[in-house]
Amino acid sequence: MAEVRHKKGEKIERVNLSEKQLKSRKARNIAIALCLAAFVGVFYVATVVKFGPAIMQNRGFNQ
Amino acid sequence: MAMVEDIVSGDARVSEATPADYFELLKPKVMRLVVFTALVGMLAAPGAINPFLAVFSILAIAVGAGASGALNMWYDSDIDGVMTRTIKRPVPSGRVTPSEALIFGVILSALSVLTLGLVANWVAAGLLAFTIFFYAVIYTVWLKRSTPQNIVIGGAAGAFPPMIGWACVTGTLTIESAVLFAIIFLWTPPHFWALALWKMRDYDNAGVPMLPNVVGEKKTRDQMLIYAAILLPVTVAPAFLGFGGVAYAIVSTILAGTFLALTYKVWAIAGADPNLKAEKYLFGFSIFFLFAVFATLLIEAVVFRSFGLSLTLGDIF
Repeated sequence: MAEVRHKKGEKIERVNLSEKQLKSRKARNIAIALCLAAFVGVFYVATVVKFGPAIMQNRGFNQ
Repeated sequence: MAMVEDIVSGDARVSEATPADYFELLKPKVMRLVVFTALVGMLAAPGAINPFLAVFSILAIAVGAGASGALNMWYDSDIDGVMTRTIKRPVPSGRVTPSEALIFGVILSALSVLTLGLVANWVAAGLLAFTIFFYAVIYTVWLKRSTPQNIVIGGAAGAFPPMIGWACVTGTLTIESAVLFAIIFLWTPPHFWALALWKMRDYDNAGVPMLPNVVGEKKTRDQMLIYAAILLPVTVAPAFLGFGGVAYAIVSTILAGTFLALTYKVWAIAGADPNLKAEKYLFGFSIFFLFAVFATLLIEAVVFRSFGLSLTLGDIF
């Protein structure tokens, strides 16, 4: 389990994750990605709703 | 530095926690009640809120409530580990470390409050922040282990959600939303003490001063009866304040009357039944009571908003 860094040139011992650890890490990564996407979606829609029709009123185009 | 030392010494811990473990930290059962009561507060409030903003607000309130649950599980992991009801929670069972639960709770608290402030308003967000602080610090850290009145004061944290829902729409705190708060606040002690009466040994083992362990069963039953008696007029109050209709007046009177009658039974039997059937029945009914009271308000609000139909006591008298 331990990762020990030896002197230059020597073999590096790596952490070997078990099947269960890999699987749970992947599931956590997916969950975080989905939560972030949902968070972005919430703020995108909330911004559009809060601005209302004014969001289409761009002075540069309308004048 | 500690982490580096752990790695070098071979004690590095690679998490096996799944998203479901983290979700469990949010106390989903409590979250369901929070979502429901906040929704009722939102719909019963005068005024309108955009449906998208309403959904996002409820989501933020739910996450905020869940975050306070995670902070509670972080702090209480020691006593959770000695009570049968809580021993399988993610922290005492070792699936999530206390520090992971703490960080998870703090981040979600901040995100939920900021989101509610931006999506609804800052009065609602301020109330949510206060609720999280109240539950995590005032109740969990301070009162839970130091006073047998822990449930009474801690119950306030669970009573805030309908007020937050109301504030999302109106941006204010009013007497109506305070009544919704009072219903849950007064309901909490008899609800929890009914549970505590038959789980006394568990709380005793954990060193949590629940009222039956400290002042005895008789005084606990006395106080339960007082709370149930005060709960009756407060539960019916929305009908007199005009935001509950005639249907609510009838249903709430029956429900609160039954609640009082069942509490009286618990008081009168005074633990003579070793199986504590009356206490268990009261605990079960108390859950139904709160759900039914708020569901009636919800149905009335939805019918009023959808069809413009409303019949209040003011229309009759």
